[in-house]
Amino acid sequence: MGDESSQILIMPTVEEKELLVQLIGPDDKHAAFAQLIKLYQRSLYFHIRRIVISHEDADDVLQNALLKAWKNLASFRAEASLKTWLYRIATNESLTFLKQRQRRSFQGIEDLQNDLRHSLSHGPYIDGDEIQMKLQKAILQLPERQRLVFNMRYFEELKYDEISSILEVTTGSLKASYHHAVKKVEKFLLEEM
Amino acid sequence: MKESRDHSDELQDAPHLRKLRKKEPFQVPDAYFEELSNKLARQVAGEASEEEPEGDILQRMDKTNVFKTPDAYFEGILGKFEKRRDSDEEKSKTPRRIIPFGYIISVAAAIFLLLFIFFKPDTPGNPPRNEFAELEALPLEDLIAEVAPEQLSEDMILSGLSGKEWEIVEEEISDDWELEEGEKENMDELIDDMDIYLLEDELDKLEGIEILN
Repeated sequence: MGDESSQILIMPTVEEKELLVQLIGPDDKHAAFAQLIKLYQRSLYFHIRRIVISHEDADDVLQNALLKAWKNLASFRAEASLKTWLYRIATNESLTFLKQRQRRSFQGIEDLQNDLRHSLSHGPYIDGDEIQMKLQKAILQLPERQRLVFNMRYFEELKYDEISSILEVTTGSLKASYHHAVKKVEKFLLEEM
Repeated sequence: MKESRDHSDELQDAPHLRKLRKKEPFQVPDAYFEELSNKLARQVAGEASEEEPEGDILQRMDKTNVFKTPDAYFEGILGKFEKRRDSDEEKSKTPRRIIPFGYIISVAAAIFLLLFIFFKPDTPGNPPRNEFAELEALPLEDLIAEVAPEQLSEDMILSGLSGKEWEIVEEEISDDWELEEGEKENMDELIDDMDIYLLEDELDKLEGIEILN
């Protein structure tokens, strides 16, 4: 997504290290991957869901992302964090999904935002009070990178280093993006309240 | 003391300065130093908020997750993934039907050749050829030689002959061939049939000309 030279390498946790031994080795690959899914399925699902909004789409994208991760296990650098690697795949899959949808229906960026807003207002499996829904609408009007950074920082509470590793963007740039995103969201909320 | 003595020593060559009373000319607002620590604390907090620039509204809000899932959704993710992975691996094991490259090339060449024959552009300077008119103008012997006996069977050649031409062939056949009685009758019937066919063919041609006119 951006400046690769500044990409931060997040080290794997102890739990991840144990899983990695099994994932890279010849045996127990299936069992280890199943464990990996159980470990990150929730966080990955909601990460994807915040990007694509609808549950059905998030489910599809999650399955695609997991399948891609499984197929590309061999290319995974053992010294990196599995979590950020999975998040990177999930993010790319989500963005690709939205771009494909945009291309298929000859949509512009505004049409896509309208579609996502519609899914937010009318889709099933969404439940929040008025102010929470306004916050979600405010997030949807952000540019793509700011939306990703805001969700990852505000809701998912990821560290800047982790976000940097996922999006391959410098932490300085991420902080600026977050700062702008917060200002825009605040302004939107003030106008709406 | 030592420091002050040293300092006064430094002013030995400046008698006027030595006489001056040291008084700080710069003043600060009332309670400035009392406020300073608070101000610094606020600035530090300000820097922190620059890193976490959450506005008032966002800070007051709960980070409620508005996105819900169907019941037991997370229990089913693994099973769904495994099913998809297995079917994907099964698909990749099934050998693909590979069309030989040579076959593709030969089909493409044949198509190209046919297209070239049918849509051959007329070269400038040469008038467009009318192959049918040229063939029609040929005498019968030349026409037979042109189409080559290995390409056309005798029946095919005979079926294309006009009535007059056929009589010549009929004579040749009856003179040259020594047929048994039964065979000769069969041959006569065959020739009669052929005459009728040729007559009908001629009539068709005439009708065609009338319609065209």
